[in-house]
Amino acid sequence: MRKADLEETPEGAIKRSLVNLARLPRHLKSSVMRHGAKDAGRLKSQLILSSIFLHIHSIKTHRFSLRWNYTFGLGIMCIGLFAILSLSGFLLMIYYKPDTAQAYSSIKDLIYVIPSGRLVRNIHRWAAHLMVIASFLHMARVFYTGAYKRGREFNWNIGLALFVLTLGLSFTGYLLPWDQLAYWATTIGVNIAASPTELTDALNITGFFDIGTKLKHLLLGADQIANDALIRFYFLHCILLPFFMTLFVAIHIWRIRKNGGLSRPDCIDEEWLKGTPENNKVNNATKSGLFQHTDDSVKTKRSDAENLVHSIPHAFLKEFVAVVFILAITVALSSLFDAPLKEPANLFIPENPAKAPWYLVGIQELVSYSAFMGGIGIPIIGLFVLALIPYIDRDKGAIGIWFENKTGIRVTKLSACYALICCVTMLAFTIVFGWLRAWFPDIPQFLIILINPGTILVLMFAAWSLFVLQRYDSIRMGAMALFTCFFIAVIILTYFASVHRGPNWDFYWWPSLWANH
Amino acid sequence: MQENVDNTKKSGITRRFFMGWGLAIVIGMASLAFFLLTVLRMPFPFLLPGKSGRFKIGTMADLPPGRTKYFEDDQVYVFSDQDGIFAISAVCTHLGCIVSKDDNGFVCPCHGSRYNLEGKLEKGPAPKDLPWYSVSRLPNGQLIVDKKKSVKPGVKFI
Repeated sequence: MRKADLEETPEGAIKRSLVNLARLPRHLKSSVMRHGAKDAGRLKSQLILSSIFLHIHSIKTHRFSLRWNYTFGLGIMCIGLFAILSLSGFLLMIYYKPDTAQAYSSIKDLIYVIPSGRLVRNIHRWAAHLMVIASFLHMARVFYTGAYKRGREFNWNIGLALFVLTLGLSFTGYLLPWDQLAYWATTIGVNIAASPTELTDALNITGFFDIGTKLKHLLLGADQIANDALIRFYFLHCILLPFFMTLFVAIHIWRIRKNGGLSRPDCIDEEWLKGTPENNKVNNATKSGLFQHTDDSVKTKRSDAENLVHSIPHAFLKEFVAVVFILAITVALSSLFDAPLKEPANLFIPENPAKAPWYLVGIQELVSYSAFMGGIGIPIIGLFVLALIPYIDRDKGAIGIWFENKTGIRVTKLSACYALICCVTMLAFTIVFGWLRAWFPDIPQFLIILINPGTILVLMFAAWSLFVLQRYDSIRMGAMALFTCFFIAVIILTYFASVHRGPNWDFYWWPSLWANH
Repeated sequence: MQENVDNTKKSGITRRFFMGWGLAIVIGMASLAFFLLTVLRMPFPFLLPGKSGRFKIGTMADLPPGRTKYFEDDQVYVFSDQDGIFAISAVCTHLGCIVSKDDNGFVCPCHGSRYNLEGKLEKGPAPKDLPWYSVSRLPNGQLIVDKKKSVKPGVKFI
C-alpha cells in the first residue's frame, strides 16, 4: 500500500470502507502487480524467465517479427491447431473404442448420442485439415523469406519432420472410424508402404530382402487390415506420434528463440516497421533482454535494441489473435460442414473410386503410374532435396525478405508458369495417349518404375532448377525455382486427383459426371 | 606431484583403465543389443493373425466345365473349363483393391489396372499379373485352394 493512500484515509470505519471501495480498481491492480508500474519491465522479464511455459519466448521481440505480412502467423496457427486437436482428441478418446466390432458404432454414438460429440468430432476433423494446409504454407513462408539460413539449417529440418508427423497423424487417424473410406484409403496407404516389393521384385531379390512386406507387417501386425492394425494405428495416432510432435514442436520453438527470434533482414527500413508497436524507451528499455538491468552497452548495439519491444503484451497479443482467428475458422467450418462417415468398412467391396485423404491424393496420382516410384521414391527424393537445400544454398543472400529481390520474384513467377505447363501437359498426355504399358504390353516393370510421368516431372523440374542456377549464377535462385516447381506440382496434382479422377481412376471433367456403379 | 603427471602421460591406457572401461562398454553394448533385439522383434509375431489361406471350394461335381465361382471371403475366383479347375486371386497386385470381373477380364476400381481372363496384366499401374493359386483334392473328394501356394499361370487341376 502506498503512503499517499495512508495519508488520505478518513477516520470513520464506514467512510474508510466506502473510500476503499472506490479505490478498488487501483488496489486490485496493485495487489496483482505487487511492485507497481515502475518495475513493470523487470517484472515482465521475470515472469517470462521463471515460467517453464513462457520462457520459450524471449523477453523482448523485434518489431519486425510482429508484422503480419511477414509471417501471417502461420507457425503459431499450427501450434494453436495442434492444441485444438489435442483437446478435441482427448474428448473423443473418452468414447472411442479401438476394436473392429465397436469402432464404427462408437463413432455413430459420438454423432447421435453424445452431447456435442458431433461438433467435437467435426472440430477434430477440420483442425486436422487446416493444420496440413497451415504447415504447408508455413514451410513456403520460411522458404521464400530465406529463413532457413545462418544457424537455422537444422531447424528447417525439424520443421520438415513436423510436416511429416502432421501427415502421419492425419493418415493414422483416417482408419479409426472404420468406415468404407477409412478402410480402403488405409489399404491403399499401407500397400504403398509395402510397395518396395515392386522394386525388389523387379530386381529379383524379394526372396531374401523383402522390406516391403516387413513394413506392412510392422504397420498391420497381420497380412490384412484387421483388429491388430486398428490397435497399432490407434497407438500411433494417440500416443507415439503426438509424443514426437510435442517434443519436436518444443525443439522447433526453442531453437527459434536461441537464434534470436524470427529471421529478419540485416538492415531494416523504418518503412517496414510502420504499424508495429513502438518502443517507448521507458525503464532504460533500449537494451535487449535482461541486459536492460545492466550497464553493458556492447550487447545493446549488436542486437538492434532500439527496435525491441517487450513480448508482454505485444508478441503474446499477436499470438493470441492468430490462435483465436484459426479457432474461429475451425469452429465455423465445423458448425457448417459435418465430417463424413460412410457405411461400415466392407472388406469385400472397395469404394469406387477409393481415394486417399485429399492431402495424399496427389501422391495417389503418382502412385497410379508406379506404386513404388510414386508412393515412396518421389516423396523420399522430395524430402531429401528439401532437407538438403539449406546445406547447399549457403550464399550470403538477404534473409527476412520475401523472394529476396526483384529477380527472386521473377524467378518464382517463371517457375510457377513452367511447373504449371509441365504438370498440365504431362497429365493431359498421360490421359490421351496412356503410358508405356499401353504401347508395349510386355515391357519390364523395372522400366516403368524408372520412366513414368512422375519421374519425368521430377527430371523436368531438376533441369529447370539447374538452368536457373546457371542463368542467374545464384544457388538461392536455383533453390527457389525448384521449391516453386514442387509447390505448384503438389497443388496441381492434389487438385487434379481430387476433382478430375473418378471411378476406375478414369478422367472426368467433373465429379457429377461419374458413371454410377 | 610432477612425476605422477608424467607417469600417466607416458603409460597412456593402463590395464586398470582398459579392464574397467572395456568391461563396462562391452556389457553396455551387449545389453543395448539385447534390448534392441527384444524390442524390434516384438511387432512381428511368429504367427500372423488372420485366415490360414486354405479354404474349400466344393467337389468336382460342383464345378462342371464352364462354371465360374467367386469366393468373397477369400477373394479368389475359381474357374472350371475343359482343361481343369484353376483359381485366380481377386486382389489387385498394385495396391490391394478388389478387382471385379467382366466379360473381358478383371478391372480394378482403384487405379484402373486391367487383366485378361487368365489374370495377365494388360493395362494400368499394377506391377505384375494376378497370381494363380494351387488347387488340390482332399481324400474325401473336397477341393481346396491354398493361397499360400502360387502356381504358374496355365497350371490347372484335372
